Amino acid sequence: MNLLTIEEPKNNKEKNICLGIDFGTTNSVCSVITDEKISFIKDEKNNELIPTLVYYKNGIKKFGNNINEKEVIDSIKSIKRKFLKDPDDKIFLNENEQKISATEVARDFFIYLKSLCDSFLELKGYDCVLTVPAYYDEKARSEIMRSAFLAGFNIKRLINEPTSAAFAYGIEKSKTGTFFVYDLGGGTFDISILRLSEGVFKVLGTSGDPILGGDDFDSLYANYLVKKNFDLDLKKIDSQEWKRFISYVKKIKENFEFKNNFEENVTFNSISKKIKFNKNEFNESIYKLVHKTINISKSLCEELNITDEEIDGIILVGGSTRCEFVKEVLEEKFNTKIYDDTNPDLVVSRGASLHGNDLINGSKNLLLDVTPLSLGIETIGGLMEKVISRNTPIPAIKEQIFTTSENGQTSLKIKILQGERETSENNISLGEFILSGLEPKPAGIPRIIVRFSIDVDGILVISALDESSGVKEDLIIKTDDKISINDLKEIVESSIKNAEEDINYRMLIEWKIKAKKIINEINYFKKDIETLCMKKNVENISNLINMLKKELNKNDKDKIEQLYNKLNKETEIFAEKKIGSEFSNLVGQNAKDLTQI
Amino acid sequence: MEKSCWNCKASVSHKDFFCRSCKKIQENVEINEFEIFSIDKKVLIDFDILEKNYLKLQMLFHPNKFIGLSQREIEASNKYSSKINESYNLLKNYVNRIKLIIEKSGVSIINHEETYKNSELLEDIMEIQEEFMFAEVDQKKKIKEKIKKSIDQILFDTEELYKKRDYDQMLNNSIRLSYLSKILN
Repeated sequence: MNLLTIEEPKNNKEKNICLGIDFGTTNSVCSVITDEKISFIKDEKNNELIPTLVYYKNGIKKFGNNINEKEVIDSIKSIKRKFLKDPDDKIFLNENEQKISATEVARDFFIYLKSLCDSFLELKGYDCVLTVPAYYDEKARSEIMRSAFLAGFNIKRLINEPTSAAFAYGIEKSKTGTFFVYDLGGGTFDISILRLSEGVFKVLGTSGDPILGGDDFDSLYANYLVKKNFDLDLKKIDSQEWKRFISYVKKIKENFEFKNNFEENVTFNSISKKIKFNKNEFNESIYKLVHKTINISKSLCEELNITDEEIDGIILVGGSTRCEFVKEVLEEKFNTKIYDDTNPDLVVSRGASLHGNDLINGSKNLLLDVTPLSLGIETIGGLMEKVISRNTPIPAIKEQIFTTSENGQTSLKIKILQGERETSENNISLGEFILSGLEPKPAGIPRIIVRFSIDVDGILVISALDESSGVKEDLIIKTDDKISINDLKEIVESSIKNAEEDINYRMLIEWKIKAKKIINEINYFKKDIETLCMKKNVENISNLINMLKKELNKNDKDKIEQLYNKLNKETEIFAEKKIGSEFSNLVGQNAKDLTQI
Repeated sequence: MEKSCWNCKASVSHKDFFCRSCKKIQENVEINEFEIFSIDKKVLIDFDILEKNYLKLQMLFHPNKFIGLSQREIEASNKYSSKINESYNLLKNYVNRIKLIIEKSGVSIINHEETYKNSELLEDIMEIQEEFMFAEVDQKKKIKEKIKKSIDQILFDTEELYKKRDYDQMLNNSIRLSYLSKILN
């Protein structure tokens, strides 16, 4: 076997740079390695920790530490949490009162981060390693990636937050052994068990809860305080007042790092009172949540067959691990060394920039990660057939063969699921793929190979092939406004090598993908359209398609957008006739369920 | 069998992952699970060698080592790296390992599984399962130890069966092992 030699960058003595970005629920951190030294990007006020806050009002956009205390209450917090449910829902208002989605809010925040990096770095570099919670599903991963991409970053890798932290620990402190990373941030809880040997970082398994974090400590404690000190019905409290109170409680929580008891004058819902704060009461109110994290941790150990004695230490990551009570409980339950000697807010970004530097400039280190959640397909009866199970090392490619259930079936619907439950409704649906244009054959005869491929970013790409024709069929993907994971991959891998390309160019690519999809969808229903619609209508549609196809060879974003909207409008009539709903909802109606061989 | 490198056209053997002259990664090289890990096709294997060679191979093929190279090379690395991950998991697990040995010996497994469905093996297993389910915590530990010992013995026996090329009996053992390992988890 021949050894691989990594090519030196051509005629370029300057080392390439790659940012490490930790986009957190509460705070975000960017770092970069230049001249073998790590530095953190600082904001206008010289802070390394940039609160993940966005404020829109009266034509003004503000971010992070530029938002004053008054504005904080009206600003968008914990945007990262919104990525777990439809991040494309337009539920926010921007500075011009236009409706925008979580992905777009995050994009604006990434643009701000990019501007900070610009002023910090003399040479411009937008390559980055972006961290994500280990327990994030496919959708959340790809949407976060998309936000950063739309802001102009080139994402070289997505890596899991606990893995990143362990990487920093392993490299900077030269630790070897089996380590447990306990990562409790503002909004997410992640754990990973890793084996560190010289230069090799191997993740054995990962688990967590994507909606558990320090923010929950705050609201639990706030609830407790109100119950104890104010005789009020929480349901009747104004949401602004509640938000203000929560931010106040957050500060109280942080005070417990330095003192156990103190008194303060508190105003809540126009009532002022002197309140005694006691650390034990705080601990008591968060007791259940802390124990929940311990249970998740213990079951991962059991799953991986790792005993407490085998764990050489627990690495603490995330601002919420500053809470003394968390450390106490961990120490008691695991009886092993706790490593908290590095700043838990900065360590994730640190690992990301170390890894980025390795990737771009080559290194002897190797990072092996796993997929956090099982992936599979819905089969008859709404059950999930697992194709790749959780904690499988990535990259991973797996193929499974499916067939048709009815004679002469010419299309097949494939529903992709992610999660650990038996029935599909309890798992996350990643999307439906329609394989159409199969040769009509008796049921059970066609062999359709469905290929799942998870790459090192943890991003899933699916393809289907009808073996009999030997040709890869077009996948028609059911979409609405969302961009599929497959396309996202396409965007990222498309020729945008030059980091300085502007956002318009990226938008152009998105519109092109949308346009291609609607054309595909219409082709799928061609016959139905011809029978159901007026001649004039059919003509219009076909003209618009031809025009759109021509535009796809050019680069005029506005024209493509215009034609797309026209086409959507023109097909509305058809969709209404067919099922009385939007066109995009229609795809998939005709496809028969699939059976597994 | 000789073919030529896609990049520099130099001749490469069908087993070369990298071209000897331009060092570029080659496509579609077949991977034999035991061979690539330099492990003898046996039931009892050396896990240290497996682990060591796994890391060595990933060091060569992992996509992180191909950043900035052509799409073609990245894809090849992704394929090999995935296949190495899969093979590693197959070899690590004794049930899969035995099945792999049988398959590699040219015996079809699918038809055989039926034969053993109703054998006394199932009765045996049910007995152990019941004993385990109703046992106290302390007792459970003891039963687990017993099962582990029994697994070791079966593995040893299966190795002997392989020497005699008794694939039917090997398959029988692999089914028994898969039930036993399920009880352990």
